[in-house]
Amino acid sequence: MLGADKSKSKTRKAKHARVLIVEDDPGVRRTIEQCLKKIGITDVEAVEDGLAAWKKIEPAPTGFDLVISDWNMPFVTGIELLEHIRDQGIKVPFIMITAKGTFDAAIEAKNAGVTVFMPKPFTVQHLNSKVSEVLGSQLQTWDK
Amino acid sequence: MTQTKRGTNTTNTHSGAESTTHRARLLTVSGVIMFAITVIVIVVTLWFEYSASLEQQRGMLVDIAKSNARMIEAVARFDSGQGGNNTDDRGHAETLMQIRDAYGRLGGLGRTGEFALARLHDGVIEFLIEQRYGDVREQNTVPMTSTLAEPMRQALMGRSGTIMGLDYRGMEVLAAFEPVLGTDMGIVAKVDYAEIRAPHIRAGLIALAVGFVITMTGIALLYQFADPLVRQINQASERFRDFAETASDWYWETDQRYAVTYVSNRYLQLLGVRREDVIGQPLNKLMGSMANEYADVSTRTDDLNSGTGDSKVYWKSLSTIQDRVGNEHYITISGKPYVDEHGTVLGFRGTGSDITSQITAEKSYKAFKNTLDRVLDCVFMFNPETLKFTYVNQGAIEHVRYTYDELMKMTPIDLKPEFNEEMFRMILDPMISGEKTVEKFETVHRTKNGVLVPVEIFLQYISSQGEKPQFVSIVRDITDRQRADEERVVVEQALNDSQKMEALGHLSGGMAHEFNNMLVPIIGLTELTISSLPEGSDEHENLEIALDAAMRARELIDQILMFSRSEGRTLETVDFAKLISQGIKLLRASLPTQVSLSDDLSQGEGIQVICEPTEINQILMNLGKNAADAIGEKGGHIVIKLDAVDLHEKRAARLYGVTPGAYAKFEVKDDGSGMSRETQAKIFNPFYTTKEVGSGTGMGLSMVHGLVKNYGGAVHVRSALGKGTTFEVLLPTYDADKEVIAEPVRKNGGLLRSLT
Repeated sequence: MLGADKSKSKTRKAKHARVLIVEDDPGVRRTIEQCLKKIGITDVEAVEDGLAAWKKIEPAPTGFDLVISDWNMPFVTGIELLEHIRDQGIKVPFIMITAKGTFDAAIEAKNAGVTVFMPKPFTVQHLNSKVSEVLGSQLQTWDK
Repeated sequence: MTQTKRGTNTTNTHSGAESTTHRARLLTVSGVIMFAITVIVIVVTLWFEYSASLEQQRGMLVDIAKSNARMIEAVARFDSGQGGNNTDDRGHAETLMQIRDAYGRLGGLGRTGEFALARLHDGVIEFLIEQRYGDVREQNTVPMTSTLAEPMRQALMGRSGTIMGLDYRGMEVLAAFEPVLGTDMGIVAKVDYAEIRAPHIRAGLIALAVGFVITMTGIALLYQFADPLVRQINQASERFRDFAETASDWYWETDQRYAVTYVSNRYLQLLGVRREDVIGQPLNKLMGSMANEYADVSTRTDDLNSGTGDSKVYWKSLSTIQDRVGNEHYITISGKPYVDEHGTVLGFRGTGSDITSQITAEKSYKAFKNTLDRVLDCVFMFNPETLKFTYVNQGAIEHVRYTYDELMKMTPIDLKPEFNEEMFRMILDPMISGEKTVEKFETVHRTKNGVLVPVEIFLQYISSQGEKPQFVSIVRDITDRQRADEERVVVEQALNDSQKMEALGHLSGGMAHEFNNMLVPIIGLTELTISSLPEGSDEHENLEIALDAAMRARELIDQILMFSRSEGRTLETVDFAKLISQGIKLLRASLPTQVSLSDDLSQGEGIQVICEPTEINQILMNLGKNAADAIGEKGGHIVIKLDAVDLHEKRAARLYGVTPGAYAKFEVKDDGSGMSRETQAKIFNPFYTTKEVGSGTGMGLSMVHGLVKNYGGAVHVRSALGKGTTFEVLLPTYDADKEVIAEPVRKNGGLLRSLT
């Protein structure tokens, strides 16, 4: 209740954000889209693997305000995508969602430059609070 | 067999013929000797008799010659006195006439006796009267220079005496001669040797004949009575010779200076030497050199000479000697002195034998026995009938702990508590009957001190020709093997289990991953739908229940994931402070912004803990999240502290519920809502949660508890409502100097077992 005002201001700002969802599972993809819609983010693009994601990011490296990606995907995985994005010097916030909720995975993701590491399954509230947090901040990222 | 018999017969016949020849020779020799003695006796006797007879004749002839000469002297003196101045020739002739007449009437001197009267006339011996064989012959002359009529010449030369010589006929005679004093005449009385000899020769011939007969009789008697004796002696000597020459031993003899005087053939054959190489050599040479290794066998009287007179002195020695081609022989020589009737040692004699094969056999037997004794497996041999042990090797003795003598009174059944005689015979009988050659089985042996030893027995029935059949049993202690087998089974089982667990881990991990993916839309979309439904409506409530079920499913999947990760974990020694600081970074990133975090790890610098870092991170993360949850929306502060504590004292250790030792202690302290005592008592209970649905798993603290217990550590909570909570975690540290690693106890296996 106390954080309601805070979150409102964040949401307001986040509403214009452009988000890329990278997820091969249609159920999860749909859930993420629905969650974002709940907080007013509608400018969303969704692709099914890392390679397709890179093809969206490459032409306009600053075109997205946030990337939400799964880890395990066919062809190019989420971690490979993250590493590649950071290699290219793109500092877009990156939320890694994964069913592989181990600490090793978390550390690996952190080292690759993840913004938020989020084990599956997550609640709507958890995802939305992290998204709001990231978009409300100065788009800071982990040091590589 | 036939051949042998024939051979024996031949030998007998041969030796019989030999003995006959020998006996004939003996008889001939003894006959000749006896006869020769007879002849000598006869000759000697006759010689004396003949000499006496000759002397008697000589005396008689001298008497005749002398008496006749004196008589003729007397007649001649008378005749010369009466005639006066008669011429000498006339007187002489008259004398002669008278004498001749007288002789004519006399009749002669035996068969060959002769009486002669002669005179020397003009250098010629002129025989005046010759009476022979009763005849009186006249006028015979022999020149004085002739060698004939030597007795008369002596008489005419005026000598008197006897002579053996040739008479005027050239016959060998014994004659007495005497000069007739006062005349130029001489007288000779003689007799032929032949006549003197004749009776003696006759007697000699008769004696010889008688002697021959007696000798022959003697030989016959000797043959009759002495032959059996001779034969016995012969046989005895033959027997001795046969023994001596055919014996496998040999006989020897020395003089008192130990010079060899005799050695039988066997010795010569054995060493390939000639008799002359040995005879006269010192006894030492016959004996070779004393075999040192068998010196204890030699019992030799030190001073044989001091044993003079004691024929019991005896010695035996063992020595080695090389034969002609250089082969070494072990020989024993035994002997004793032999003495004469005064007890003086004449020499030494005894026997010798070649015991090379014995020694060799003994040596190889010893070597074999030695080897068999030292074989590590246990070797038992036992009699098929009585079952009594006949041999056990050293390994067997050590195996069953009985002594050799004790075992010799025992049977295999005494060692086998699982067998009685009937059962054991059931194994043995098919082997004795030949149905089976070997038998291999496992059983248990009871040693003398009652220990049961698992054994594998390899039993064999050995019945070689000419030897008593035996059972040979090779027994192997299979304690180690059995233990290894058991261990292998355990290890295999464990491996099996762990592989199964790993597989299950992989499977469950993979499944959990998929479930987590599926739960995303289930939970997310349900929540979104719920939020659009009016609270209190049936639809809202239904989806709440569905969401609750999905949340429980998520917790279950967490457990599965935790289990799948706990399997196959790898423990390592880590710098604990570094690990915690890394964990704090992660924790900090996951904490809500209203919760601040500070740490103080300085007290725990350099602490080493054996653990799996992931598990420590899980502990830290759980406690951190728990603290953040307790702080809640209003915000607050978490402090993480690390410390090294010494709980070597038992009391201190008991206070914390750990074994004494060094521990790393880290505490997570929050200034949140705190807990009541009741809540504190339940916090480590799985599935207990104070949080609202969806915000807590309930698994957190119980997982922390399980993990810490696994390391042999402990978790403590200090809390009061409204005063915050402090969790203390104790983990045993690794002391590199002591190299003692606290063995982690895995107790949380209960959870995964309930899952499998």
